[in-house]
Amino acid sequence: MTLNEFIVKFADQFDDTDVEEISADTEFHELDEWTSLIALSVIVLAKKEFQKEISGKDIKNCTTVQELYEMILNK
Amino acid sequence: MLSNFIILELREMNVVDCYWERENLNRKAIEIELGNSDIITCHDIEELSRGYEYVVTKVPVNRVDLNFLLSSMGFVMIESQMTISKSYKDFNFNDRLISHIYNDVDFFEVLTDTEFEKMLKNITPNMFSTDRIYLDPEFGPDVSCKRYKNWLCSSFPKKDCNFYEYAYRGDKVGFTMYRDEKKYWRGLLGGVYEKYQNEGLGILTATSFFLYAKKRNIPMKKLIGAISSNNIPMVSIYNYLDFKLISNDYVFIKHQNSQN
Repeated sequence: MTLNEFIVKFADQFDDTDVEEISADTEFHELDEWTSLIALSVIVLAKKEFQKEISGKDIKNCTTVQELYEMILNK
Repeated sequence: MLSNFIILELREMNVVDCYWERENLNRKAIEIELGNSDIITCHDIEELSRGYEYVVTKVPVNRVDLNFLLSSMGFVMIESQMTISKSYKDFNFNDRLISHIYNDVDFFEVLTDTEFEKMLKNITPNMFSTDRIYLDPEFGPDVSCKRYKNWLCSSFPKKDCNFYEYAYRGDKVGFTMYRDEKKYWRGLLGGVYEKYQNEGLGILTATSFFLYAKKRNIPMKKLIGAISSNNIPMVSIYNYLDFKLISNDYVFIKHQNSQN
């Protein structure tokens, strides 16, 4: 999965945040809609799409969407 | 003095001298819970709250007239308190998020003094950061934390409510205090410990009751709980889980000189 494909999947986890609002540099913790629920959705996304086990702590340690993508790839 | 008319209407109203808040908040506190059909004036509220330093007034949502009245008296609306419920039979254990965490969650009943003390140590000042006491500049995080701990400490020896901690992938990440009222469980207090917040575990605060009942094979019909409108992340979780909104009260507070 490319970074751009990941951004689309990542944006899918939100209800009210459009994919156009998200780029590789987006600091996702700062998004209005970012909550613990979305964090858990991303953990499930990593498992389903990448077959990778990531933790909430792993997500907490990332700042941008690109860092999140690379963290999942490198797990 | 209250007018005779108001005295007749007081049956709708619930007035509580919150004597325990003296130790918690270092204030003489009163809580006035107004009903849907209460007729009350500024004078009545002044009389009820005379001699108190911290006045909490709860107003049902459809009484906007009371919102205006309390605002004109210097009360501040600090939160909206929602009562919510969810039936066990309607809880979706197959939800993709719940089924993801289900096997990684374990429960530990808090039964002994030692277990209780350990649980208490995990409760830190910023754990309940949307609490009305936490958010009130007159009180703040330390007072809020002390108040919660005092509540837990006074409840534990009574043995009329239950406590458990939940672990996620081996780490104890949160706790719950609830009461089994046979027709339903009442969620009294709980949450994810500060150290584990913002890690996607908030859903456990709302779901742990159901997972606990299922894993322990304990009969449970329904959960009833309360949530503050200040806690948007948890409101969104309850919304995601399709909880039913039972009632909604505006909570107004006022700090005043006890000589008033």
